[in-house]
Amino acid sequence: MVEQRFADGGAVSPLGNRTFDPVVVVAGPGVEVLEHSFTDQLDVRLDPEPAVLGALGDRLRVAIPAEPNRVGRDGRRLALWLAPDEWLVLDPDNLEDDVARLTMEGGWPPDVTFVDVSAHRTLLELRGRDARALLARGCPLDLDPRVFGPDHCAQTLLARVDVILFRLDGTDAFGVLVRASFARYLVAWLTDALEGFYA
Amino acid sequence: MSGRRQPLDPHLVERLWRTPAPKPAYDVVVVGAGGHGLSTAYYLAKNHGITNVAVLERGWLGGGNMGRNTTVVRSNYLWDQSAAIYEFSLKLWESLEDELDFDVLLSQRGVVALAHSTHDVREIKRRVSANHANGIDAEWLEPAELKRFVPIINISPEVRYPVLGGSLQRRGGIARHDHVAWGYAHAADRMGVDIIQNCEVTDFLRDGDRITGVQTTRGPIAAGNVALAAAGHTSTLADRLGIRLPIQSHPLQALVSELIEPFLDTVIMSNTVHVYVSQADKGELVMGAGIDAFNSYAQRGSFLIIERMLAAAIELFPIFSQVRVLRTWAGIVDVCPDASPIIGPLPLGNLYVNTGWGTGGFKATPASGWVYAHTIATGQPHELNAPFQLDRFRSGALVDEHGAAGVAH
Amino acid sequence: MSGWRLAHGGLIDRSRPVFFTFDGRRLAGFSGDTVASALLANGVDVVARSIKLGRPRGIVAAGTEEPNALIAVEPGLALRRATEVELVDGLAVRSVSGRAPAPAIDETPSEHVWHHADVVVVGAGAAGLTAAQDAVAAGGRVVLLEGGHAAGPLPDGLVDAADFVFLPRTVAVGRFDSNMIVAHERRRGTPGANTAARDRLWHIRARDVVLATGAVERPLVFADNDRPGIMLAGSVGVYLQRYGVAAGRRAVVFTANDSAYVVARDLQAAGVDVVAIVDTRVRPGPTADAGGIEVLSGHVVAGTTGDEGLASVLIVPRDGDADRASPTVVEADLLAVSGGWDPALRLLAHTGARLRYQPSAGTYGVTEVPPRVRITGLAADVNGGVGAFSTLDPVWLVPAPDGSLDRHFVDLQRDATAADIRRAVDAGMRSPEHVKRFTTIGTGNDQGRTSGTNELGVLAALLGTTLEQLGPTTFRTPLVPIPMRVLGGPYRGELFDPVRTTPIHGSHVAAGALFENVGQWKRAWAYPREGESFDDAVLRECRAVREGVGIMDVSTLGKIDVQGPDAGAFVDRVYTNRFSTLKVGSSRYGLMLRADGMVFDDGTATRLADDHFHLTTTTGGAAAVLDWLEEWLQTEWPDLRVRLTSVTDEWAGVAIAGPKSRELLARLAPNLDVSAEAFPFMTVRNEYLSELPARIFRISFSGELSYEVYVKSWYGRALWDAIAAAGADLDVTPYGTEAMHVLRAEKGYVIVGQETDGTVTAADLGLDWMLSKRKWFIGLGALDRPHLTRPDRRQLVGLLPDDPDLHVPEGSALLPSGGLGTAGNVTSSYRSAALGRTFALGLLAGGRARIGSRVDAQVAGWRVPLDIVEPVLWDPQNERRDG
Repeated sequence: MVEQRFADGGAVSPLGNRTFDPVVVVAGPGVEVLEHSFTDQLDVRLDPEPAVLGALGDRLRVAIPAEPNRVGRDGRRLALWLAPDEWLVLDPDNLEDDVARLTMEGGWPPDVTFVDVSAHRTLLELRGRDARALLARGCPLDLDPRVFGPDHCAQTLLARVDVILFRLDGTDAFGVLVRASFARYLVAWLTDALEGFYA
Repeated sequence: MSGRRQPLDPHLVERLWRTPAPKPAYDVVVVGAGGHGLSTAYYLAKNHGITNVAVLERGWLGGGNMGRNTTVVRSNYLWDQSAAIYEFSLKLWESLEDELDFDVLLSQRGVVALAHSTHDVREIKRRVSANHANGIDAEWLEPAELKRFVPIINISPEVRYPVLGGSLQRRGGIARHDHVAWGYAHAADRMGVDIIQNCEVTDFLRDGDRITGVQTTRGPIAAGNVALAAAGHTSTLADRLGIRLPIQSHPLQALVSELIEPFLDTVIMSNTVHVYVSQADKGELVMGAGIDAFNSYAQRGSFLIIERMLAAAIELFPIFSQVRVLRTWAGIVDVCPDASPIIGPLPLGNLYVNTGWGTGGFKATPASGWVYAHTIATGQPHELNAPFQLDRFRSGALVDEHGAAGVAH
Repeated sequence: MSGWRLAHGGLIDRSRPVFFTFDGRRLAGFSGDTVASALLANGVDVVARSIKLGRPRGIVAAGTEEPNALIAVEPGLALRRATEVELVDGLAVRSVSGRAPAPAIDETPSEHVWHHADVVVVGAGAAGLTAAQDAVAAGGRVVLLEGGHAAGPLPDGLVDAADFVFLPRTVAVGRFDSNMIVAHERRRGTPGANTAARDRLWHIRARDVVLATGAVERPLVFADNDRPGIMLAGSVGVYLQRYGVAAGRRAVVFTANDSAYVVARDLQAAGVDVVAIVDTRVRPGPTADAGGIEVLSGHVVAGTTGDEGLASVLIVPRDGDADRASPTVVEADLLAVSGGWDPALRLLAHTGARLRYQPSAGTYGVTEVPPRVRITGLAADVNGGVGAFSTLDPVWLVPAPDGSLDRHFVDLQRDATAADIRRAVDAGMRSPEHVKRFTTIGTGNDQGRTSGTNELGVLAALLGTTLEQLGPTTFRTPLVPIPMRVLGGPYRGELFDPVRTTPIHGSHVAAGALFENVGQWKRAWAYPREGESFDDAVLRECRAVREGVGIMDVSTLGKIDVQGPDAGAFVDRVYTNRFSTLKVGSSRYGLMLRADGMVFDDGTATRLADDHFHLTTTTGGAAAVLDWLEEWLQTEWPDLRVRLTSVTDEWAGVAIAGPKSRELLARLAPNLDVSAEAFPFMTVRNEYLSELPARIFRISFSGELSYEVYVKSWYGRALWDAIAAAGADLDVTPYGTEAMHVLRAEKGYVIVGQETDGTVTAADLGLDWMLSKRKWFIGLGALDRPHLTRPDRRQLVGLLPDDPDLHVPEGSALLPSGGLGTAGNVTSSYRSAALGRTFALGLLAGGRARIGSRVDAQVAGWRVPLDIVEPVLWDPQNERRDG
């Protein structure tokens, strides 16, 4: 997935970036919004048998959470619970080798499926002391750390856009996965929200 | 002005209606004293000489959707069958003040439906053309013509969903909903119809496959025929007889603003951004939203819908930005799979139904009562409601008006 | 001129004078004043004329219940209450008589905010502060809302409490299911506000709500009770204590309970001459301490006199008709009235809590509160009839000496009187809702705060019934009027609704494309060149595809990945035609029906592996189709082992169409054998195209030799540019949705949503060949209903006007041979470069059998005859497409 991407230099992220490095797309005194372009994402579907989840986690090198709206984490690699039979595994570095191994080695129950959705959504990071307050301008969820902890994720609305929301790491930073076609709108909304934010 | 008598101002009427106790038996019991129930009773008496009629109302007359709608009157429906009944209704509206000798404040100020996409343009032009073919007045207005007709509208191409034109039915407009209910009630009452409020129908009396009356919170009442006209609650009544009607009930929200000096003298509807608006004679803006998607019998909807409606309204009318919302409320609309009504007999003897009007109920009030009364009095549908029988869901002869309604279902 | 400023006292800052104008008059007040308190301090009696009768009206109250003192604030003319607008230097306001002038446009957006709390306390009076302190002490997140400005500094325990949010000038406008409080924070136009500040609409989800919302005093209903100088007693006290303003110089207090006695004493202490306390009760309550003021117990005020303001009050014994002829006349410029109190419990009402008349409290209240709601302070005391509030002896209607009711005002803002209620009763009305609608009482912008209960009291008196028999009319959200721009929030202009763009959007912009909205997408509509009309651009683009090669951005098509052992069975059920026999690497056009048999969506399905399909949907139908498929899968077929995943945004796509498309593709993908034999119609290849990994479908919606190339969406732009560069010498031409529509129509291909409208079957479109007879599919069961098999159904036909230049507008009705009504409609109509003429498609009753004959279309009121022809006008043998 990764290797080919830059062989030709032709890849452009939904927000117009051409690099793996996070790029600031909006910023204010207490908050920064960055795009992590080209984050590898794999949609995984299977019936949640504990043994299969465990085996999958071993081979993907990240814990696959059985509990709804939770995140499994190993370094920069995350596994987000999306539905009783659906997870999204993402890694800003490289998933490709593991995915290749997964599919080549086989041995999965027949209804386990993998779909590469790396280009379907782009990953935004909102960080800084005001990140949560900025999200509260358009997201109805309670994102207080006592309620929405470091291992939580949710599919929700931000402004009028469907997003997947989670804590990017143990800090105050949030990850927002937005579909590629909505990304520019969402950034326009964030920019507008920030204009009023410090008034 | 000569020729036309000034219709009665309801505030000057000595007595609008009596408060009778229910009699043990009536020729016809109408269930529901909304606009349709009252007009049905009126036309039973007026057109068919059937005056031994009771209209039973669990609350206060005109207190359901009749008192909650946004009072738009128009007939520019798409399909021939719908156009026929709504145009008949509009013609009845045009003479209603004389008919009832009652001031219903009909104002034929025109109804505009806006197009915001090439798809809208095609569909609205289709409706205009179909209206012409059915002898109904309709015009297509380009944006500049719209701007002349409604100076406060924003036709900038820069907005998210620019106005690409719209249809205008000049004979459309608004009426005062309460006055319509009171006018029909008054006229029916004068002809001997008993309007019995605070009388809830709790069950039916039946003899085999025949309905013989109703059980109410004020005792049993025998009836030659029972005619349901309970809008969103009709399906729950029919459930008691094991009849499952193809009706879904949804909240539909509306609001009024504070009183403002007049600046909008027509009715504007936008199906795409889900808002319709007019300014009533007192000065308040009256607005309606798209329906809430969930099913409910509670007369309240989601506040989110109100917020979205107002965002849309301000896009169309920037001058609304500082106008303040005074009251919001919801009615329960009863919607058929094809967004058209059911008016006719049910598969039990002496039982009739009139339901499924969705967002079209108010404007249909006169015609609905007329054809429903005909159906009850003769046992046969009137030619105008013949297409709106329950069996169309079996035959497939649907009259699909989703696109032509004021809001998207 | 009766009001005056006390020498000292109040919470105003006397060191900071503030100047403002009222109807052009320059007046002075102090920092901390409201417009209302400053007007009273300046002796302004008349603040408005009443809406119907034009009677002079003065300030009645000190809060949101004020019915008379409406003002428009310059320069935008926003409508406000004088009791709510804080005084700032340079403020200019005008009086409003019931109906506001049209306000100016205010383009400042507002903010929507979501917040979550363990406890939300509404009202920052003493009880609210205590409740907030208790909640903070108990731990958890606490929000305190105060509709007015802060009465003073917060108590110590709250000032620096963590997890505590104090929102002054924030009024709760509604309480919704699950304790969601919606509140409006006024930041625009508040003193000291940054001009860039945006008003906020808070959505606060609360575990518990504490209502410290206080109570609203009721006026008394007597003749000429609307004169300037007649005010609510409690409000008179507020002006005294908070603003250091005495509302008059010579006062009478008229009360039906003990609460007004303290106001009388305070007035007296402030130097106002309080002539008498007129108490409706023969025996005043235990807390009625008159402090030496004369008390006329068992008396009522039966009328007043005055010109612009109050001159005198007429006092008579409450019972005893004989004395009515000679009332005691007392000169006064202030009449402070208290008919009782109503608890401010409207926040309970939206979710269905019903208030009932509580005789012991003399008001409408609740005996049970909803779960997770508590009432405290004055609201609780009034609701429960505690203390001074147990002393009420309600008098709903004080008869006038002459028996008239037409100057007994019940709703001052609506100019509605007891006589109006009498008329409603005489007309047969018994329900308070009818009376409200008949009289309009309670429908003004004060939301009937001071008139609602009195309306019911008067109604009960006239009907000879009790208030227990009369429920209050329903309260409505918002509790106080709220500007539309605040509810609309930031969602204006381009932010109104999401704009979806493809990865190739920038190239279209650079090429000068015009865009059309298709759902939320922006799609390139056409690419007019300098000096070229839209129509000419479309003709040029069509010609390029028919004669050379064109490229189109097809990224917006919905795409669904279908995988699993039962994928074939699943796809068979959702499309009308069979797919389970489709070879890996092949595509097929598919049609989906609704359960009622009507066409729902169309697209192609391609088999990528035995257990893996790639489905496309229409652009507008993508989300609905996925929802629909998931609904069937989850509710009807949980046994099928199939997974659906949207990959719409994963792939960017470009159609390469036209006779030269093969040559162009060969250049781009040198490793691909593009020959007709090696890469036939309706097959798919994976190949590198200009070094980009691509899925190449040989597929056509134009009727020409054509390919659709898909790459990961982040390569979309590179793909488009590579194709354009490689095809420059072939004059590769970008074409938009309009040209695409023309091309497919020439070929007789339908567009779902254009040729269909939810009433059209596959057979109507001539697609009955797509209805498999050997398997079940969604909608099959509906197809044999009698109406769906009638020969006179509306069927797809081609339509040609005699004049090859006449363009029949889309949507035109097709007419029956006589009479009213329609026989169909024109669904598509274009100018065709390839055909050298205009043409149309339409749905016509019994149309297929009428091919070869004529039908009239209605165009601008004229009947225009059209030839009825086959709907396929271009390459009916598919030689170009399949070659």
